[in-house]
Amino acid sequence: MDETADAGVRVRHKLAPAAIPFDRTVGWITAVSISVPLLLAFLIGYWAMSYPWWVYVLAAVLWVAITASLVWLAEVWPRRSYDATSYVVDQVGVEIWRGVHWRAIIAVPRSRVQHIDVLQGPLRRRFGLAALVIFTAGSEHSSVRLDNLAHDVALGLRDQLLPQASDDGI
Amino acid sequence: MESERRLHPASFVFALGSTAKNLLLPMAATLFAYRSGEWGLGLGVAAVLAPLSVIALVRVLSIRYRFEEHEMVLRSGFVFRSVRHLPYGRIHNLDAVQTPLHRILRVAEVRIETGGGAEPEAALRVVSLDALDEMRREVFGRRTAAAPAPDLPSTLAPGDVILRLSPRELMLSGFIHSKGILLVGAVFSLLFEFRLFERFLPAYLDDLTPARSLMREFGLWIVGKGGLPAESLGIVLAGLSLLLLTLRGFSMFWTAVTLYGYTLVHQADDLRTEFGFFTRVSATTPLKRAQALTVQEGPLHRLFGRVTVRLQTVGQVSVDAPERPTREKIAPVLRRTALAPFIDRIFPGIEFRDEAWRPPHPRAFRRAVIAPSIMWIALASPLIYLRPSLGLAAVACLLAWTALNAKLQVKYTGWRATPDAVFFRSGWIWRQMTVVRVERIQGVSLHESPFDRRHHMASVHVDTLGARGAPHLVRIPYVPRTEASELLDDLYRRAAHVPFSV
Repeated sequence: MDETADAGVRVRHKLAPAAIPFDRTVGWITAVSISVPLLLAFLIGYWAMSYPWWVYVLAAVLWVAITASLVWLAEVWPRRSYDATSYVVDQVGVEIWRGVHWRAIIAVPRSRVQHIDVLQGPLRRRFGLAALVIFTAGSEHSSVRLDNLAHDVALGLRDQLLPQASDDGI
Repeated sequence: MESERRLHPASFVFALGSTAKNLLLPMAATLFAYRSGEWGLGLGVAAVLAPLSVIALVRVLSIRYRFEEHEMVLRSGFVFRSVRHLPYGRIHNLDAVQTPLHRILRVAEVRIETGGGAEPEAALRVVSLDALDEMRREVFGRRTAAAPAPDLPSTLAPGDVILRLSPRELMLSGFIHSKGILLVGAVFSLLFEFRLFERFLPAYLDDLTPARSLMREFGLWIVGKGGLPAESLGIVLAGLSLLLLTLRGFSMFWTAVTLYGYTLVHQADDLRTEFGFFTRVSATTPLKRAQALTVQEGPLHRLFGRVTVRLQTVGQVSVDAPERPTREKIAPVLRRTALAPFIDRIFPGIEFRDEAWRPPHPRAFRRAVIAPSIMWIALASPLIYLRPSLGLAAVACLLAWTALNAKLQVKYTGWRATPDAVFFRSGWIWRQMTVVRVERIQGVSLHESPFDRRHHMASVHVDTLGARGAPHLVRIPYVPRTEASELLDDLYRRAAHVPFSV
């Protein structure tokens, strides 16, 4: 039961600060790509078809509601999500805290890590971020994802967590 | 380099048999098409399929295998060759199936499965019984001291017999579980389709038409526009009871035949099950690969004082095909009093006691009762509108039932963590209890919805290998928040200490 002796207080790390602008960018892209086609559909419906007036009012209200939610998700949510996510990696394994309203703590012992992926799309590359995916042999958490770490931090974690000696046969 | 083995010569017969089965449908289609004059298409289909079947036949016959130091190597094919390496460490199950024909010829069909696949990695049709034994020895890495008796189809070398089910127990199991429901349903629907009911029933009943429009009449009564169709309702209920009885009777017979002579043996590190009257199945599972054990107890179980025990092993989990060995249910029926010693034989050292369960949070009842109540009230509101007295009575009954259900559900939810394992039980009508050994824990997680947070509760989930589709998952609800954090931490650290090995 000695593993905390060298760690002392366990340090909870947060994701990379660049995660927030990244999520905002993704959020805006999503918002625009959903909202604009809907607007076009609405306008086409207005000019090409003839529905009773209340249908248009309803559709307009719906569009405003959808767009407002998407914009809120793009602007406000990334900060909340960032604040709610943290992780600890030590001798025992990796623990991840996440979730703003539906919260979860996911704990994977070091010896149960099967393999690790570091993922980076073009947008993440631009922000210097990467996603770390930890694969286990479990079913519910067969892969545990830590999005938006700094790229070099992700690589470091991967090296830290990879199984040292392969003593399990699976 | 060991010498290569080939399949038993009788493989030709069996491969031919399965090929013929594949050709049967197109042949039948060809025949029908011929009679109606469109035989060109049918013949074309058969012409395409015939060489494919021959190729499959040749391929099956070309299988050779040998045992290397760390793996089994399978080679097949003459023109298109394939070599498959199966490391011994990855072979999770090695099953043998014997139909009566197999038994006459003293051969068996072997199915080898490696982790996680739904299809057997290798199916060897067919090998001799000696070859099967050798395969078992090589793969599971032991030398059996006693040679198998040559005239017995089973290669059950001496080991600890943990469980043996008599035909009476099997019939009981069939009564409790209702097997073959698909078959009986198919028979019934066939009878219905071809209107055979009408040939038999008029002898007993005058007129079937009231029963046909039952739903419509019932709906009319609800809305208040017609009388209660009591007579038709009676007929339908009688029919349903008859159906249920038939199902149970059939299930009893079916189980007694398919699981005939069920024997569970603990041999060295394996669990070996053997069963079957016509088709004899012998399934071997290394105990090391057992991930979790679930004990199930439904109302019928309780009536007879029995339980069902299922073992969750790596890879194959409950894909239901009639000819696959039922690997999951290691004890289809077992006396409740014999449960503790049984579990002790499978998982020695786990202190199993059906007591000292940690209860859920005191406010769990409140949470369990609110959501269903709201749902029932919402669903019943149209009924209240249409027929107030009936509707209100229905709602009152439903709410009473919801409260009772919630209370009992909370009462029968509990968990316990010992140094070696974690136990979780849930359900009051259909009671289930699962044991997961610490070394099989792949990950632990704690989940907290906004409703959980309000009441200072959380759920704790324990993740194991191959749990998808398992009957009972260790997801403990309504755990007081501080206890949940402690449990998470406890299991996480203990699992980290114990290495995981397959």
